[in-house]
Amino acid sequence: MQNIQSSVATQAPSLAVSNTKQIVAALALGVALVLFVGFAPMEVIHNAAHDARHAFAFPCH
Amino acid sequence: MTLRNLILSALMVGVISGLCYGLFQQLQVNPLIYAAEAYEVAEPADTAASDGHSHDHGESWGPEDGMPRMAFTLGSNITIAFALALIMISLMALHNQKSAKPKLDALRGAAWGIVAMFCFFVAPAMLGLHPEVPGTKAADLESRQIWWLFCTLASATGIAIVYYAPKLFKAAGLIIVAAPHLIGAPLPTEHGFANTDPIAVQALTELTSQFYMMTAIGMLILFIIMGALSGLSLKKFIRSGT
Repeated sequence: MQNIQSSVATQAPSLAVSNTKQIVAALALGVALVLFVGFAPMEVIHNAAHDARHAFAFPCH
Repeated sequence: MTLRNLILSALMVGVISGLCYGLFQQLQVNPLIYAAEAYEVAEPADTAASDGHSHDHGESWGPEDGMPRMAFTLGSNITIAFALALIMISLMALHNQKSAKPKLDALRGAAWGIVAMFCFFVAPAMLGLHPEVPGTKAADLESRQIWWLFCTLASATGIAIVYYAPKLFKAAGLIIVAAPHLIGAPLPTEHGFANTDPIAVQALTELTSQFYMMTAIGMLILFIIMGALSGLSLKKFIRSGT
């Protein structure tokens, strides 16, 4: 366990380089999910999320 | 590690804020939606077919009224809240990483929440397309969705420029915030409701103003909780490496 922790700690500086990429990936995931639940034109998704779309004032119908 | 922490934080924030908004919606917003649906009229094509029962959504699956519909609505609320929290937390993490401005905490997070409410609700809906109860006449769906996304993106980008950019460029930020409204939201050629019966129109007008009020209160609750919890989770769980 100690070994794992110390190896993570030593890797930390190199991880920081990809930190921004990971943040951007999370951002993209969030955007994709909003588009899917709130804006996807498929009837089934629209019907399932219908009342929530109205309540978030997303364009609906 | 960062990605996992971002997603887990957003999940926590999304579940809590989505549940709060979901409960608020069940109590204050859904009664208005159901009441408005009672006035919905069948599409002209359907009435010509003299089919007694017809609904906008045709034969596709939809949750049964009652518990299933409430459950799907709550699930959708939580999913949307999770997605919005993920966007907010990611942008906060970028802020903590890239900006020399003060780092996020719960109070600053709540302020971010209010800005997010402007970008996601006030600008596109209250100032633009207007929150709608079912059965409201509106412009073509696709053009409204595109305008909504454009407006939200422009509002967020513009405010970010005003906040982060050097003084020289701040005015450009304001112009970007104003741009969607200068272009104008796609609105229907005539305002009103699909149901033209005067009693229905009066009821729907009343429901619409209540709907405005209740969605605005609900969104304020949602975004302040979401912002404060997001700010808090940034402070607790997300390392701001360079």
